Amino acid sequence: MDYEPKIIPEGINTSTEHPLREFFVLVSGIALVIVFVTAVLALSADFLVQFIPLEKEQEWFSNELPVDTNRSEPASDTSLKAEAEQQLQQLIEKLRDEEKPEYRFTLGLLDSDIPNAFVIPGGHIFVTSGLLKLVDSENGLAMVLAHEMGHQYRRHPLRSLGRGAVIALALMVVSGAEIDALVESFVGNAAVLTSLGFSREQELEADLLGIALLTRHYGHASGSVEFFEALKGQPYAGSDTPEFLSTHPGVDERIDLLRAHSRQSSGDKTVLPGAIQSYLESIDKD
Amino acid sequence: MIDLIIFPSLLISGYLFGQYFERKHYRSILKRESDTLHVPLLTLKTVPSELKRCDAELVAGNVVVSVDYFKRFLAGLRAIVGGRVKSYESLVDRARREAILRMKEQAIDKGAIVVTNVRIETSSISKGQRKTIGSIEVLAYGTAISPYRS
Repeated sequence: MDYEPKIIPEGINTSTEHPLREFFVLVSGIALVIVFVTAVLALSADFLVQFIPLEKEQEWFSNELPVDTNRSEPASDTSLKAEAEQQLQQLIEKLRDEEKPEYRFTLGLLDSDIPNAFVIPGGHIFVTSGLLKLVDSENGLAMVLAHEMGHQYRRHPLRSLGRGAVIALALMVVSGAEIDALVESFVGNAAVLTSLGFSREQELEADLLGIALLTRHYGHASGSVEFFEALKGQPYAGSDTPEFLSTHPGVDERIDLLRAHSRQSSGDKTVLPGAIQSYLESIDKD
Repeated sequence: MIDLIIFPSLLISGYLFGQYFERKHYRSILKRESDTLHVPLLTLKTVPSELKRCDAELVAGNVVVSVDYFKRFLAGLRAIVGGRVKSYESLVDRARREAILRMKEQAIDKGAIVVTNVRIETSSISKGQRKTIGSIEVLAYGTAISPYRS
């Protein structure tokens, strides 16, 4: 037999499609599905929260504070601190929405230099001494408290808890499936980034509710951006994180939103209650 | 945060290096394939009668190729939706052709005029375990037929 050498043509066993094209099609397609599934899970958790009676929430997360506000050595004079806490509690009572008396709030003052305030399910608000140092007037402080109260009036803490739980559960199911470890972390990150969007939305909602409570009490919205302006000068944690990776919207965006929604933005500010001032002086000495 | 820097850089370096080595490898494969074209490879088990009074010797070529980060991620995404795993096809193609070439080059060194009974064996080094490096092994072997030296 005769042998005639021939080159086998290319492209029979391999594809000529550019690998980057396949990459972008797959990544965007799968990311879209993850965003959709996460959003559906988050929204359904959100929806179900309204069927949990407020009394149940208050019962589950009753006065047992999960955070020891006097942990380790007390950094401050305990009696001064108790008075400051009382003042803060009174401020909350002044700010509260009269039409919603069923919402209860407690307040805890935390000895920490990191300026922060948060609310946990059951309406327990926590404020750090670092935050108190950053505000100049009672109005500025009231805005922070009103923001946290706004979260509770919309039941954000419980919603976040539910949302976190369903997304964590979904990710556990994914991690049980036999998929590549790289893809698993891709799926996890996409889901977390999606749920951060819901968190940022809640912050803006609480800001708007906060400014409404502030205006109702003082008759004007002066001081609403005081804390955020002060925060801009601080090297606070996460200030260099891009917004899409963050639980909170950018400070500038929040200031703009608050300014846009202040109907009566000028007015006389009230000075900080005396007990809070003495408390701040006492911790400054240490 | 750090994940968001490491992951894309691994992907990009995997893509750049992977594509560079693949192109380079294909250039080498195409050149060597045309250089060795004069020796036919047969899958026949028996030696053709014209070549009965010849030397016969075993020749083998073995190659292991690793997957890069980019290809692996692409294949992982493919595993969710299904379809042609194009990113691995070129890897398997390269490994197979390289193994054959190594075998053939060995046969030419021995003065072979034909290689018969060519067979290919493939195995996966990682055996599909998670978090291990995916790589493919291809072994090509055959009987090199060369004229009597005496």
